[in-house]
Amino acid sequence: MTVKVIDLREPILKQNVADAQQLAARFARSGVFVLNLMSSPGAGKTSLVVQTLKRLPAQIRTAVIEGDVTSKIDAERVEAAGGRALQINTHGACHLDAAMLGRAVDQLELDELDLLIVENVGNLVCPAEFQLGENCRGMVLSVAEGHDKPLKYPLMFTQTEVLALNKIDLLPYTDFDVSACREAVLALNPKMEIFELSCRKQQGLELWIEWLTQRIKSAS
Amino acid sequence: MHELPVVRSIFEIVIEHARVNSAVRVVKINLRIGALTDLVDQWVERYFEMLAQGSIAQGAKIEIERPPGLMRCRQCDAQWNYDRQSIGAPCPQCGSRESAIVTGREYTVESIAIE
Ligand SMILES: [Zn+2]
Repeated sequence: MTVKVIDLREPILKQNVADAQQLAARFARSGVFVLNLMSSPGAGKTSLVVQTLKRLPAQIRTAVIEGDVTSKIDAERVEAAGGRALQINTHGACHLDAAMLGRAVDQLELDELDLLIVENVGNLVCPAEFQLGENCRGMVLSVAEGHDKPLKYPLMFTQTEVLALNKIDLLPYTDFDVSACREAVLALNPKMEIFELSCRKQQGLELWIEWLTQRIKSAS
Repeated sequence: MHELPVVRSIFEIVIEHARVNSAVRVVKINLRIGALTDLVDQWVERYFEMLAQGSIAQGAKIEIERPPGLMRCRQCDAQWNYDRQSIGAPCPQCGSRESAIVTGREYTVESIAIE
């Protein structure tokens, strides 16, 4: 039998790209700003979400979708901020994909939201590949992780637009070099917004909140 | 491990095009994976074997091409190739660290060979 070669040049994740485009259209129709938050395990995504909910202006209606099985948002805190908290069962997957997020979003009244925070699964490798139709991709990096992290996960740093450098209160106890980290991040992505903060000590959060509030306003 | 959902997508693309082209067997699959993206060959092979069992793609050989990425200096416009190890390196011409990634995100099923 003859062998025939067929050129495809087809993106491997084309189904996810299509699903993400549909989600993006839904988000745009509802005027909701969607933040996809990613990090390694333990970097402090959940703490950042909690601090954010506490500090955002009261009129910003928020929901949180939790894809990270290792963390759990206090539903009461989200509700106090006028929103809902939903947990996605990822069945052990290392990332959220657009189809999973779509099923969770079905349970929300998108039109009644200004902000949807998606807490992705704690890992810096996989989520970078999977678009979720989000308006913004954010990353939380903790100073306990080492300032060479950007070079280990280059794709993630080129695919996100805001970086929360968390746990800066621990700087005296680590050899983390903030300026080396900034340099490495900006070399990969010169447009990255970087916020140095500590959720535990509640430092540096004002600038982050200000930036986020502006972004939410521009989406509505 | 994000290989399983990724390999499932590969499998679906391969089967779809094999059917359209009335293939009786898929002999080979060529993937193109850029320097920025993560995919472990050994897992791809293992998962594909599992997914393809009993299908016309069973036993297909998977070949992964990994083209080097291209980086461009924002200061002097020099271009050079990088891989995952050398990604943070300064411009070889002027030493600047302000560089832009030109290519490295390839993530495609390039072609299939069918009978
Ligand atoms: Zn240069």
